[in-house]
Amino acid sequence: MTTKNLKKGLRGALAAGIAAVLALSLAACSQTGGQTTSATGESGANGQSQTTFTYARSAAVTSFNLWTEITSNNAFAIDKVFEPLVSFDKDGKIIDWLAKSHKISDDGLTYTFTLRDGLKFSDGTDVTAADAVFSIKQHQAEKDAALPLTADIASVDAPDDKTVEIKLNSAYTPLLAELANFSNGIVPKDFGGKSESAFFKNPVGTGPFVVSKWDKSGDLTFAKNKNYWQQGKPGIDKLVYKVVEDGTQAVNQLKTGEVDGIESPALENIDELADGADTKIETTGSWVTDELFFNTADEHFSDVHVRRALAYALNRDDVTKAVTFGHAVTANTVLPKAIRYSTQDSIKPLNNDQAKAKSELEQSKYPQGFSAKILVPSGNNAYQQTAQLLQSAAAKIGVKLDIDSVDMATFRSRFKAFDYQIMINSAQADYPDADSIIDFQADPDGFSKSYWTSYSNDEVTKELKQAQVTPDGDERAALYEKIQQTLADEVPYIPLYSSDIVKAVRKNVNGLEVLPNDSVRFQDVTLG
Amino acid sequence: MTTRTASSASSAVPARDRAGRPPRTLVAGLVLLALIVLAVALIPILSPYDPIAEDIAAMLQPPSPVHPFGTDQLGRDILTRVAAAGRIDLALMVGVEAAPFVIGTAAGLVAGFYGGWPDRVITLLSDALIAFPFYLLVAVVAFVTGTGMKGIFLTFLIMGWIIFARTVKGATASLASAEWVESARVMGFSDWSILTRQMLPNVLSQAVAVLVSDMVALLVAIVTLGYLGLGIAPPTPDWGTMIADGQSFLATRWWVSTLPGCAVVLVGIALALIGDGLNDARRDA
Repeated sequence: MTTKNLKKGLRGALAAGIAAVLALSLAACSQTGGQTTSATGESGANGQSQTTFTYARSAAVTSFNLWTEITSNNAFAIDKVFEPLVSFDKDGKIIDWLAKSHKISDDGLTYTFTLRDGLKFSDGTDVTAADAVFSIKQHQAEKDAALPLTADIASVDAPDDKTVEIKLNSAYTPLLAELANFSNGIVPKDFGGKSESAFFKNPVGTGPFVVSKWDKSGDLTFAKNKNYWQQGKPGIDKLVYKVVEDGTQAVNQLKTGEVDGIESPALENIDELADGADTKIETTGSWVTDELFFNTADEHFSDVHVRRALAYALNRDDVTKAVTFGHAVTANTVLPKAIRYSTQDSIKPLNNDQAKAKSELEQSKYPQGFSAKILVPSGNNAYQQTAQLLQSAAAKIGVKLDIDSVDMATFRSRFKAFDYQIMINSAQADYPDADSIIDFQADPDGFSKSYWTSYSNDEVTKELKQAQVTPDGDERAALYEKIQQTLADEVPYIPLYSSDIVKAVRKNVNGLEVLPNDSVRFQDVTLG
Repeated sequence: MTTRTASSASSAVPARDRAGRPPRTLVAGLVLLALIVLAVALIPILSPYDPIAEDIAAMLQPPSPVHPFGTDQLGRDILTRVAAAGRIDLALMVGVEAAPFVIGTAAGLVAGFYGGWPDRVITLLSDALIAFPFYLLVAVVAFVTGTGMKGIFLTFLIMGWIIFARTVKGATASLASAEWVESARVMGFSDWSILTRQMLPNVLSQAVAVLVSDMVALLVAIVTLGYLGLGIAPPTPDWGTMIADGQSFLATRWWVSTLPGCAVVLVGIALALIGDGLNDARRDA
């Protein structure tokens, strides 16, 4: 708390200093030039003045390494600088991006991409197929890859400057969707001659923005990429990622125009911002599910009956109603409805049945109940309230749960060290394929060891690998249906709700494209 | 003062005896505090609502005859919760303040009466401790002990005694050189007897006045810690957590944060009036 206040104090002092300097230089400008320049938004006679979009976010950008990063604070900065061959639109449909077209052979073993004409990196050098080959190979070689390419790739080649060809040893259906992920952005071959670490400190990509000023524990300023391949874009000159940890402050800053948008407005504020005099919201369906996670390596929660007991004890519809203010649906399965093969409407989840909750606990190693802790980030009102609902639900069957509120940084470092018993967190698909969620949450050998739950079920692991090589269709659907039911029955996590993706912006903001992975595209943004 | 004899000094404390009537501020403060204590004691008994049980169907209702203070996000009656939280917070305030009051007063008496090394040790200790920002120490203690009452109690035990020790030491030192103390010694009273039967009654009114104003600071600290999530943890209701719970929709559902906040303010006013009244009474004496 103290360090936070200290930081705020410093930031305040800094802001005051900058404001003073700015005021002085503006005064100087208007005196010497005889021609005044307005602060933002309007164009002067001699060229354009700077338009800046300031985006309030809850955490700072700490790294641009697209291969090793996973959390949204970094991911949604990385995707402004690096772009993949294919991407997805507002509805999650895969679209060609740096590639102008792609082809998948009938046997599912050869993927061929043709690059767009006139592609340039932000430093002005041309993008060739060799850069794409280097990027994919580098990603494959990365030992700490957060979202590794799991396909059995035989070769990645550039038959000519415009063509990228990926050959597989065995079919892997999610590959195209995976390639749409931010982690498959294209970097210059050999990092443009720099070392890898130097490159990521000052990254060069094809994206609409380049890093201009970056405080790893604070704000980040992007400048417009003057060589961007989409002619005439982006429409803004500067994009500032401003860290505003407190949600109420972010709302106030949006109302006063201190920021132009909020990345994650709290659901309880959305109606107010949608009806605001100067504010509006932009929304789309989501790939995000908020869930309760059990550390299945913990002595209590390794017992499936304990987990089932809590799943039965909780009324998830109450949770949805209490914390999402009508901007979410109760999640019945880990796969959000916006992703193909979700069994949201047909699955039978465990929910709200006291008698069954008690009988499950009686079958467990702890028929008399026990005590445990729920780890939640402080300052997240929805999670605080959810924790209280779980606490009282658990108390009714004799399980005493204490709420352990810690600041966000501690929260992240603790769950990543498996240092928790129950936590509340959210999971989002990074690309539009069921595998994105299922593999991340149920593969014990994956990067996150089943979303830091250590959950392992050989049957599920086998099925999820099978689903990866099965072409889209009924057979793949059947596999995912079975996996989702097993996860619902063994409860390594309790899916709670899938909220709409909502961004709050000032009324004069046009063209913000909200994506179902919770990111946004800024290239079409203009300030009216 | 100099004309007083040892025997008359021991009974010459309360202002009431001399001035006839207690100051109006004192009366107002005591009445207000009594009303608060009464409300906090009775409402949870009389209320048809459980302060902890959720009722999602009734979430976030504005104040009405059924729920005079409205309901919170989990559909709990805020009036009942404010009163239930008052029991905890006020009991904690009194309970936590007791030990530092006794320790600080005793230390101040000894240091003021004897001077010399007891004085130097206590001055050194209190200077050293006072150099720590209070909330920093709270955060450190909470980190070690975990959140909850333990941390609050421990921090106040460490920090709280200083203000009493300083006040009482000053008052005692100025009395210790008075002639009647010398006479008491000549008459064969022991130091213990002089300290407890002559000194203490004379400095107690000052210590009590400090106690009352310090309680306000303590209450604010308890509420602040709850607000920051470092204090009393749910499901136990607490004014600080209640204020934090409603913070995110302060603009649209004002009652969730505002009414628990008013409870804190009322207690603060009552204690401030009592403290002022006590000081006035002492000056009049």
